[in-house]
Amino acid sequence: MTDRAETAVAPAMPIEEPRSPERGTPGPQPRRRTSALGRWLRQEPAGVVAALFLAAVVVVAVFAPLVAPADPLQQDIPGRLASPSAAHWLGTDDIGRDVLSRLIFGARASLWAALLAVTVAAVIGIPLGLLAGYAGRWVDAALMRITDTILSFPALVLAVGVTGALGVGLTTSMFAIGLVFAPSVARLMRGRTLTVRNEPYVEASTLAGSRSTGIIVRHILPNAVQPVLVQLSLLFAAALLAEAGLSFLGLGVQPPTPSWGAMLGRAYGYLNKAPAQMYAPGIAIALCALSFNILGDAIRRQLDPQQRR
Amino acid sequence: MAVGLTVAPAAAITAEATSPPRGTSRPRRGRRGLLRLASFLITVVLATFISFVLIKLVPGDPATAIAGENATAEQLAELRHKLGLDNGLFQQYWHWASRALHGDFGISLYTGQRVSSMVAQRLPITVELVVYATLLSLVIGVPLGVIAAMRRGKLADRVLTGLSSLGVAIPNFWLGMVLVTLFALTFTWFPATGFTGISSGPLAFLKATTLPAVTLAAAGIAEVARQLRSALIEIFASDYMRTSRARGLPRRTMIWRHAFPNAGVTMLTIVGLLVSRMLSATVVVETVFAIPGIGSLVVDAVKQRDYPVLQAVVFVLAVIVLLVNGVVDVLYRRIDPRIEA
Repeated sequence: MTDRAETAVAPAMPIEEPRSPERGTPGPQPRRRTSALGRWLRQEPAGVVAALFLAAVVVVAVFAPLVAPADPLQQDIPGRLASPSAAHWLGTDDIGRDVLSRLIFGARASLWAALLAVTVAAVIGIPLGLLAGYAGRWVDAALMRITDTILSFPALVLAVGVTGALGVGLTTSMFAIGLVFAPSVARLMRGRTLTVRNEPYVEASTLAGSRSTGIIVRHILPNAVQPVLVQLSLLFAAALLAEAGLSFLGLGVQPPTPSWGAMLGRAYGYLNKAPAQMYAPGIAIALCALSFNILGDAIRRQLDPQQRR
Repeated sequence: MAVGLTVAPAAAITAEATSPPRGTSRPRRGRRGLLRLASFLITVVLATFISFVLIKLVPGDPATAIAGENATAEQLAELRHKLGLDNGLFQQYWHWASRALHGDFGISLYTGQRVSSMVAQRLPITVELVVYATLLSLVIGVPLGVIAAMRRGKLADRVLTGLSSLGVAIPNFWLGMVLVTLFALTFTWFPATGFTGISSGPLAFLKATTLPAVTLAAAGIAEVARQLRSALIEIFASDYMRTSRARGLPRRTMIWRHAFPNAGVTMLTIVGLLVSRMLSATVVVETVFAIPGIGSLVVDAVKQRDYPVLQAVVFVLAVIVLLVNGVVDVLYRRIDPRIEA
């Protein structure tokens, strides 16, 4: 019931918190390494496919200069808005650049941007959640009040606002998105910290005279962080979509650097003449976001067998 | 419990089945209401602070950022004064927040209009759009969620679950572009862009607003269906449902009399969530459909470095979300007497 009440106070985020697992022993899990891969293949085929797909996208992004058939910035005005052909598998854009190459290089900007946003969210959210959960009392009350307030701003509106203030660009816009996502990470981390803090091994460590920082780093963080890592995987999908939105609006990745969102922004200008321009980047974003969601859900189910439905 | 029994009998039944006996001490109803109101007001005040801080994030001097490098010293001084930047930090905040709470957000740097009237002009458009999209999400999402839950694990459930995963993964503005291409440019059933308010007649409204509303609603439908499905599955597995089955109640009675009222809390939570998400999504969707609502206003404000407008829109939207959440909160305390302050 508390779970529902919490969602009600702070529903502004794109990702719902995974329900707190309430397991009997949140300590180290019994290890069943022997058949881990087999179990994954059997129980989470979709998750495995999603992971493989994402791995392939990452490889393509990393080796973009080797994979891409052409220079993503090479213009060819006479051959602009061409349909797919042997030379340009996905056609050319409004100033004659090869769409496939831009898609491949766009993976770099888009994934990098999402990674940046999720890292910012984790770097801000995890320590704050630990602090709130461990310190308790007024520190907790104050921090949670602030996170609730931030969560009451519609996420993208606040991200656009922060980007507007910091100045447009990939780094600033992703910092903004990370900032907006951080409260949900902090909330989950706090909840887990509260659970783990009362475990006997933490109490034992406290009684043995360990310092708070030591307890937090050695005992609480490793035992509380698992669900947060799952949430980060789901946030990755949300960040990818947010990046696409901001770059579409011209606030994120700046030209001439290709990103999937920015490509859609350009395609929007030619919706009348060349509607086919929008399909490849849109599908790329959707497939990646879908894969991150599927993967996140699969990991969550594997970590928390009670959730399996 | 007496109040709860008259309002929502089915919920009260669950309470007996699941909730442990409560302690006797609980604050009186009125006092709890006051506490909630106080916490709401604190959050609003904090929201003024966050909105105010936006202009402090501008690197360097906001006045120079707005006026450009070539502005004269007098122009800069005037702009600083306009923005209230020539005061101390606390004074600036106090000035901004106290006016904001009275609905006065200053003058737009770009149009010279009062920011409050710009917001007032554009807000109803976004509200109409979001309400329409929310209704669409419920009207389509609820039956899908019920079907998926009742046919759990069967083909229909799998297809619906797959579709709803896709629904939350597709970038909404891209969906908007696809819909425009298909239904406005290829088949000219709907206009590609623009907005017609409901005051111009329901048919004109539906014609102009259906594409953007569907665009906004896609993720909402997916969310409603998914959440309702898992709420219903949980309810179907509960003791009182098993009892009803054992008593041989017809399936329809079980669903309408027992399952639905108990899923009510979930539904309310989702509606609160949807409003916030849709307001978020209007930022891009309104741009795609060239709708002069508050979402496109915030984008324009960023591009024009119109900080007063930016601050105002961010603040106003946060307050709307807070109000919606407040209403949701009150409502589901009425539906479900188990939820305490």
